[in-house]
Amino acid sequence: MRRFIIVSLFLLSILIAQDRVPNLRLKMLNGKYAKLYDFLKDGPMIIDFWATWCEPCKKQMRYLDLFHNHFKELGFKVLTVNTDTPKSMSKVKPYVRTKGFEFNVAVDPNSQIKKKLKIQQMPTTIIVDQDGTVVYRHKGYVPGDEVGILKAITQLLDKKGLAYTDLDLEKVKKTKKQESLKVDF
Amino acid sequence: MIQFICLLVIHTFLSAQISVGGDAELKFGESKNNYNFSEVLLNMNISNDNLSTWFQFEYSEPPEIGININGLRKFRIDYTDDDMELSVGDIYKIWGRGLILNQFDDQNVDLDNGFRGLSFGLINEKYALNLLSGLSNISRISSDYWENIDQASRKPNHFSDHSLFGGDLEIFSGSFSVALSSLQSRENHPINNPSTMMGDSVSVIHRIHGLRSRYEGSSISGYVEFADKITLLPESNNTEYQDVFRPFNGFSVFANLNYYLSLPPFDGWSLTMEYKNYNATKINPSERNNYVKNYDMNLIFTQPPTVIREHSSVLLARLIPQVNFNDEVGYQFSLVGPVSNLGYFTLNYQAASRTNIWEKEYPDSVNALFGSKWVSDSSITLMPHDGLVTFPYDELYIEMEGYIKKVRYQLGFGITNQVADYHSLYNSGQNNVWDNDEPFTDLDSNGVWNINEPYNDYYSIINERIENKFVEAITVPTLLNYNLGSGWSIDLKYEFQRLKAGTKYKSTLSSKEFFEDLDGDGVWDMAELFSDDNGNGIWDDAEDTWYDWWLNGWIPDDQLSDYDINGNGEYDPGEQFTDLDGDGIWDDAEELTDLDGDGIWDDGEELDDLNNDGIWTEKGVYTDSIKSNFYVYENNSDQTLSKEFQNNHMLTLGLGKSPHWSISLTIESSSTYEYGPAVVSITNPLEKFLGNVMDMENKWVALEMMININSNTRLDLMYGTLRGGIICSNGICRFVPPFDDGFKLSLTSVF
Repeated sequence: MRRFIIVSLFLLSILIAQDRVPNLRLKMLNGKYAKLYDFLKDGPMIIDFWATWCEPCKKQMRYLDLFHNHFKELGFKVLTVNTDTPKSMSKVKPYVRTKGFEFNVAVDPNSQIKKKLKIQQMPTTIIVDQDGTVVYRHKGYVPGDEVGILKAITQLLDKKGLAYTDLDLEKVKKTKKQESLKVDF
Repeated sequence: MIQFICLLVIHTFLSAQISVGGDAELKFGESKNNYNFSEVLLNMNISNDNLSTWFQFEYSEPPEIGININGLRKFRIDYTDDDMELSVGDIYKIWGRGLILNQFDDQNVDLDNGFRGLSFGLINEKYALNLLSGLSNISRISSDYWENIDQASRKPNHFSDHSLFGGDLEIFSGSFSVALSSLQSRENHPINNPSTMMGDSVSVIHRIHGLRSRYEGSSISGYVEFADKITLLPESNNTEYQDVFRPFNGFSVFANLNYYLSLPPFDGWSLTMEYKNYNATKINPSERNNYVKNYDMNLIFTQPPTVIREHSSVLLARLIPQVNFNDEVGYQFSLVGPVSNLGYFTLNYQAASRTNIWEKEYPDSVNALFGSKWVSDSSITLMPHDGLVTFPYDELYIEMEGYIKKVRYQLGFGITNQVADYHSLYNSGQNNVWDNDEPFTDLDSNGVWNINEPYNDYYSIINERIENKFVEAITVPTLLNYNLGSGWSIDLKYEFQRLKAGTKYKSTLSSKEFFEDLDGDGVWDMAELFSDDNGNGIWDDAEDTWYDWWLNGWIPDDQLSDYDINGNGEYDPGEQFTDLDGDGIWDDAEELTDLDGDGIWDDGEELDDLNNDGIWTEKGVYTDSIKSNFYVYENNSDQTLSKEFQNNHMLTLGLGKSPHWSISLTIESSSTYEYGPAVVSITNPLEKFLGNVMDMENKWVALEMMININSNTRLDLMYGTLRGGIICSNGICRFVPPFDDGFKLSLTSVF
């Protein structure tokens, strides 16, 4: 009987619950701490998991940076969570700086954030609405996936009634100079 | 526990906004060489704003690696508010870069070094405090622990219990931060009892104290961490082990400096430098990975940076050495930057070695085979050595990657040099002649030795043989990815590797070789060499004994006593041997050196050919030789021919349709076979099909497919054959057996 009650409670909870990210504490690339919902104060966000040794992740990142810069006026942000272990952690900041990426970077060296956000593969990209609800989730990256991510962003912005200019994905630059760097990760 | 979970669920219901979800992963594999597994992992998360829970269930029979589990594997409850964190359950923490504490659950090598207990944290803009306490059971696979060894190396046999307590305080001030850490573990450590030769355990206390600091500037950032490790045996017990082993107290240092260049033409470039000096204990080359005996090694919770580049190239990744977190010094520097509009250039160089130079000392009164011992000084080394005994390793890697229109390219070039193993072996013997310094019984009391007076014939060290296994490789990984548009893309990945690997032998004679002067001419005459053990005057086929294995370097010196039961340095009936004819008994045999290559023994003078050069040799002569790991079959016969190099090719062709599916075909080929246990490969239908267009000899073919069933569910399928080899993760390596003609399925889903 006890087992039945417990199982029923679980099933009921699944039925009524939303897929919502918890307000996790994050360690940022500069060593400071932040809470996940701090990034949701001004608008929705993308959370993306990557590592310096993950080739598909790196292919996708220039598009994430483009999304971050294009939609930031609307309060939209991109937060990437780097999962490099101490083995390769030293190379994360040089990589981000050399590529000139401006999105926010958190570190998760023992994959605890990854587990809490139910990330099984890398890269995984999730779009989170301002209330913390997950509205889009995508695993892996093959060229062309950026179109689907952009579509999911614009659908969310449309739903919220936010006006934006169209984004041409071909605008991705081959290399980026460091002077455009403004964010302290 | 169940009541607690129930209360928690009720609590979450009562809370305003709850989130319930989870993810599941199903892994299934079946191959013709019995590498089968079936594993289901289910994670359940329930959370609201401040409280979150995690439960992990596993159902495995058997898992890919590890022990079977059916039921709740892990759980944790976390409470977080603005400044405070409280966790109860299975906890994974990392302090700094892991010189003291770095916990994770790595299913690839079946290492889970988390603990079950409590963690309390206070975090604000000025400081971060973490206190923890709990219990941990670490399971590992070790061939050095004699109990429950699993030959397939898929099940752990060494289980150590830890009672952990520790704290970490980090203080922030602008761009600076400084932290102090301390961790203690009371460990119950399984060990081989030296007296009973049975499994036993020893109580050990480990204490690690550390200091770290970081600086984050606009053009420079730096990090340094120091840890001091103490290992204690409680005086109340363990006296037996205190007599035979004294723990060493050591330290570890890691430093990292990043410099971001901003002046033309290096605007946007960055230089990364890393340095490691891990001196936690002193272990001789023969025992450097034997954590069973050497319980004074760093705690398993210590997982510092490897200071070795992580490669996405499969062939380069196979050459990554196993990093020894207890005894290694090394550095790495990496220069990365944009080159016009061509892409990004990377230059990476890394070097490492053991921290100390070891030598073998040997007494002259006993057989050096058993009497020799390793010695080393206690100096602190700042930079890697290049001596073979220190296992030197270095790698230079250059890469260019970028975009040309819709093509993404990556072109790399790597040069790797490594000494993977080192043995220093001694043959010693008695010369059957009284020497000046040998004691004798002076029967006639005349003060000098006379013929027929008994004497103590000391062993003379007459031959030293150094063997080191080496790897030298040139690797060229390339990648092309073309975006066809409308979601279609093609991938072409090709890797080439020219590999040289084998064993180098270096012999040093400290006395003349002995020969039997049959014709009395005073010189040794060229002849065939053999020991006619059964006295039948002809050479007989031989079965390998443990002595042959030791000569080949397959048995480390410290394990000789396991094989040579009576300790006489020779093979005796009853000791381990290779039973060639399967009759269950060792057959007498003679050793033959076939000098003229005619396959039979020829009359001649008997020679104790210590350095294996086939001729009589004066003392002090060095003879070096190299034995390659690689061979081919000569002219489609059973005869093998040694090859100096092995050429490896790996080709992957992929096609993808975003976001629905992708498919790839991987063909790996090798130009030679490797000495060792032969693996009988079964030709599968895929190989039969490809056999119509190419020679399938010594090739591994696998077809992989990924299907995104929906945005939350992904299916990965693999059919074919995968080459076995070493995989390394988090500084730990394990041998993965070949996956022969099999099928793998992985289904992952988030709900």
